[in-house]
Amino acid sequence: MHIPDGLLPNAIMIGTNVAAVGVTAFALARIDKNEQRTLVPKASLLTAAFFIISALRIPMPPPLNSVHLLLVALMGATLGWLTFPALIVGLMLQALVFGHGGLSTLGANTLMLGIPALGVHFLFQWARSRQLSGRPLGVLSFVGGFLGVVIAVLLFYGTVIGTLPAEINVELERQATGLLALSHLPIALIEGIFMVLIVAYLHRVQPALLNLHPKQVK
Amino acid sequence: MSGSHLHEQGIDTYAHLKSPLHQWEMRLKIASLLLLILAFALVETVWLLPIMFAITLGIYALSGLPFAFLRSRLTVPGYFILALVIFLPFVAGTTEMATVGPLTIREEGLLQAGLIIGRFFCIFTTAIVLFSTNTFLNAIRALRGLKFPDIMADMVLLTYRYLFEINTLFSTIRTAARLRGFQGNLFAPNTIKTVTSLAGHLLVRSYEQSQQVYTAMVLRGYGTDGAKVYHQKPTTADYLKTALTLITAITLFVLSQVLT
Repeated sequence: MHIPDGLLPNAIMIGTNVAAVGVTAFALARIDKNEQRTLVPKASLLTAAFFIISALRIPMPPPLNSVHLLLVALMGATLGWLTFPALIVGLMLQALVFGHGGLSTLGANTLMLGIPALGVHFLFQWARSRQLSGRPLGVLSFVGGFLGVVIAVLLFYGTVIGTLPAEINVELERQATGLLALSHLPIALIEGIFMVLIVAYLHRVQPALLNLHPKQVK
Repeated sequence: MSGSHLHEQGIDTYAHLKSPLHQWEMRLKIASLLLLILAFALVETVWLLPIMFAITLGIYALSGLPFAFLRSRLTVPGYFILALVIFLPFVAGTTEMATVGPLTIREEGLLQAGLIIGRFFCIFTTAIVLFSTNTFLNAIRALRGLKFPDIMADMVLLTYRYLFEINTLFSTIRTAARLRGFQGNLFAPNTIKTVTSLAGHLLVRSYEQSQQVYTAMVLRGYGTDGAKVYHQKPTTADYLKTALTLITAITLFVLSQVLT
């Protein structure tokens, strides 16, 4: 689910790239210079792992046949503000190595996945401040996973359909966006369940992964 | 990361040819071709497409990269963009051109679809030339030379370095799971749990490995500036290629503004 090169009009292409660079610079500025070096290997290896896992296809009945996880919520929960640099790096490599997405749409794709991920990061920060665990943490994880996909899908189809020629019927646009977003509900549900289980797993096996940032971000 | 994996993906496969594009100093090549890509992306009129195709195919031919390589790279993203714009000629615009059964083809939609596909082809092909006519490592060094933030350059290198290694590890874990009877059927009990365990195991392994990687990097002098110096010096020929590309990009941009 990446926006390819050539699809976006000038203003949106330039605006999203500038915005993505701005948010990334802001994200990097929030992390201490000394801590950046410590975080680089962690963020890089996790980015690589996220992109490998997101390529895993889960079989589904027709017409979907198979789906793959977006993992935006998990990226937000584990990487926090580092999600933006991680997404730029990951999406750039995907465009260059695998041909998915594009260089001119790097900003749009980063924002599309980064905005919901950042939302989940704030959700988890709130959970940490309340020291949530057990069922409340599970509910929060489900909400994060579910909404992460819904928001990313809405941003994707909203951008793709919304930036197509003005001659397209507005009502038709709205209906198409709604229908396409609805067709992704099963994926959002699966991602929500996955998020509940993976948060429980990491909480048990390696809690530091979910607790990476409160001490490291100013 | 094994070399065979890199060759499968193809990014460094043709990095050692001796074409004018391969011999172009990397910093100047990145700056020039990225500007050309921007000029392609800013074109808003379909009438410039023939010129764009001529420029793109000229650059690709000069690069000495095989056309079979371009075709193999274009297949998947090409189908994807086609699926996104294929409906445009039928729903966008008011000028009717032809009727096919219950569908009416409209001029504005057809031109818009052509423009999107044309821009995609030119940007995609130029990006392939940019990053396939040098080793990926040299490209990252050159990006540092262009003041790309160090932390981002380090992340690109490390992610690239471990992408294929983690993929191999993940394949091993999946094979082990399949040997234990895991079939990946969504409706089978425990499928989502097994997928979660696989993903969790991979994340934990990657996280633990990153701590070892960091220690090893520090022991090898990570953080010192020695490894980051970019040595290549541009020649007169490099400046000429750069000037030619910049003139082309600016001309294309001006033409696009005039014609739009």
